[in-house]
Amino acid sequence: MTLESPGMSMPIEIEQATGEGGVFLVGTPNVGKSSLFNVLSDSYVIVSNYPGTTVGVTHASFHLEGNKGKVPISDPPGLYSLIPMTEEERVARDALFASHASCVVHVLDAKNLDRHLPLALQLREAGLPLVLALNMWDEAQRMGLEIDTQQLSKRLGVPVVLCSALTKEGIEELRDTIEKVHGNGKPSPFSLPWSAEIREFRSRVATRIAKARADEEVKLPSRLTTDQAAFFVLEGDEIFREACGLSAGFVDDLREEYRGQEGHRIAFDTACFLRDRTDEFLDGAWTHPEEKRNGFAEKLSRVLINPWSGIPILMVVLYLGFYQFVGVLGAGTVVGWIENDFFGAIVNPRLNSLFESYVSSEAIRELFVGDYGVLTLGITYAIGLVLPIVFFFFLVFSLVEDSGYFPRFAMLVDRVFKKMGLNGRAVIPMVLGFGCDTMATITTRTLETRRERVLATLLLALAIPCSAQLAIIMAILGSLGITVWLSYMAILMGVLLLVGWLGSKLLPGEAATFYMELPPLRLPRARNVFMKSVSRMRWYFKEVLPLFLIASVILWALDQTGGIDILERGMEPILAFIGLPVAAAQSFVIGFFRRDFGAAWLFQLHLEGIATGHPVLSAQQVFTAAVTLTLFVPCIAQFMVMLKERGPKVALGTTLFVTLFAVSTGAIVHRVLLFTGWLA
Amino acid sequence: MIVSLNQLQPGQHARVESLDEENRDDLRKVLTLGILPGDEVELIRRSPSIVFAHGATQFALDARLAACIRVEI
Repeated sequence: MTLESPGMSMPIEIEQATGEGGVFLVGTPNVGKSSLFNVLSDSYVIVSNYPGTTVGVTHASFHLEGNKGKVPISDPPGLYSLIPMTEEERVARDALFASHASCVVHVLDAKNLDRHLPLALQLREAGLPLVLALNMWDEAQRMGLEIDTQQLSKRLGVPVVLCSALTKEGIEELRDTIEKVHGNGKPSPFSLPWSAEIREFRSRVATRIAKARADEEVKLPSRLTTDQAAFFVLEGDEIFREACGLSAGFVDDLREEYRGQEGHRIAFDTACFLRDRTDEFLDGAWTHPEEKRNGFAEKLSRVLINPWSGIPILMVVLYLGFYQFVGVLGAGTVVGWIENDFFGAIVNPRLNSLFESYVSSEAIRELFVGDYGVLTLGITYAIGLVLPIVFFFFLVFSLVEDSGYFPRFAMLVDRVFKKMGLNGRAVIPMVLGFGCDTMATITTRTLETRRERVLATLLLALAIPCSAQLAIIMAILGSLGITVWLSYMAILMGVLLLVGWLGSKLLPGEAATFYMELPPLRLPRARNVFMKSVSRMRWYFKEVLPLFLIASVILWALDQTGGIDILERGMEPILAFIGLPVAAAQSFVIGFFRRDFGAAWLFQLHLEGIATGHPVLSAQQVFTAAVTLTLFVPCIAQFMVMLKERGPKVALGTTLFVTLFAVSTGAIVHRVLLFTGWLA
Repeated sequence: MIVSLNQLQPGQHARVESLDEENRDDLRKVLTLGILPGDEVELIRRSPSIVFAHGATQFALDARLAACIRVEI
């Protein structure tokens, strides 16, 4: 399978980033980089008000004026600095230096130029063919900001363009400028007046790198000059340090020597130096009026970040958005229409009779319209069940995401997440997991340390049910009353906290620190929310539908050859251990192919039992099965992503642990129920 | 008086006096946010995370990182 980042139409392949003569966008999160990409290119990417939702490099085409054809345009994740802190920043930085872009567009927020110009100075010094796009010019104008682009452009030696991706103001000029730079080639030389000490230390590193480069021991991108590489290594870039074959000790000693001599860390002095230069470059060319904070949005933000009001609001958001909208409307009503009224009553009976009359082989008939049929199981579930649920989920998720609520959610739960060895930043993968654990596992890249990524991967595989699975389990448990439903959620929460806590104790590494920008709250735009949901859906279906079909075929083959019976018999002792009848075995076998398939199978079993008046499962057994199935193995798609993102050791280890843990929890639940007599 | 950022009261303004340079990773994170000595900050909340305004931008930090930022009232 090709691995893609959520909602994007292009695979992540940073090596092939941009061939000769392409356009490459860079910028910090929250500056409207992806919006600008959408305006400049011919495709749609997810634009978000939360750092870390673009986790791979997106490629599209940039059309040149007249009929001069088109060149590739790339949009990597946002980065705060050229020295990466997270894997997504690393993806962006590496792609930038690996690319042969003929024009690098640095997107800045015109309102916060003082904050973003240091990055521009570093890009400028790296000798890249740069254009500065000062975005959000419409908002800046409203604030009364004044920018002298001519002056700024003269000082920096690169074109500076004011624009707004929202109002399309300045976009034509930006296009023209990009084309000019694209045709011109190399920019004028530019260097900043670094202190003699910094230059000296840098040259000591550069000498070593130059030597290694001459011996061809270096795996540095060709675009990176030796001096630039020395700068990065000295600032603390571990990836480039290793690529240069320099030992950590060598660089640490240099840094300590510098600190002993100058009294500050070199990174601190660099930051101060870049700030001073920024002030000089902006002096007289950028005037910022007294800040006026947007009244209502700011008041609302204060309410949201106060736990006394913020947590009740969070509960209401979860209840209305996810329980009522996704669960009741999406998974209940809409699924009822599509799955029962459309497929169940109209399509599948006709398909059945069609196959009855034209296909004589029973085995072939079964392949398409049998119990495990590609059409009656695969397609029906994919379109009738999963499509509406996942789409409703993505709608809510995108709406919440665009409002800028997630960073506030993150700061509210940071302390709880810390108990699980994570930090507030992990809310995105965790919440996204309730939609699709596979997609969520990819976004764990936005976490800083490997330890956090491994923990998040484990917790997603274990205790976060995906929307399709959750919706079915909600339907089963819903019939047993609200207490049962709440108990189920409480067990999952308990497992999440317990395993997270144990994992954080067992996995070596430092505690995660939390820092995050709180972007202004914005009213989400309907078009953007819709497009984003559609884009995520498209990803989901391209990745997941084939697996649905393959799962159907494998199940059919197992059914035909008697393999299912063997598997079921093999599971008998395990099921007996958690007090379930053999009939439930199918749910577990199927559960490996799709988490929700397993639950759906259980649901079917439950309903048939009720309909015939001879329940196959008692209420206690339904509850035990629901808990065990939720915790049970990740689906095939998630397993593949775990393998790709975390490697075989983590993927196999996690799967083994999850399986054992699910069965043990099931056994405990079973015994507790027997002992207490609850639900008997 | 010099205190760390998490000792300010909500609504209180202060000027960044220095950054704790002991832990290199923590320092890098604070520098990534663009905070340097001389900058004006305003504390907005102290719990569950520290929220403060720095120019037109607001940041949330945990107590550990906030303790790295020393401010002068």
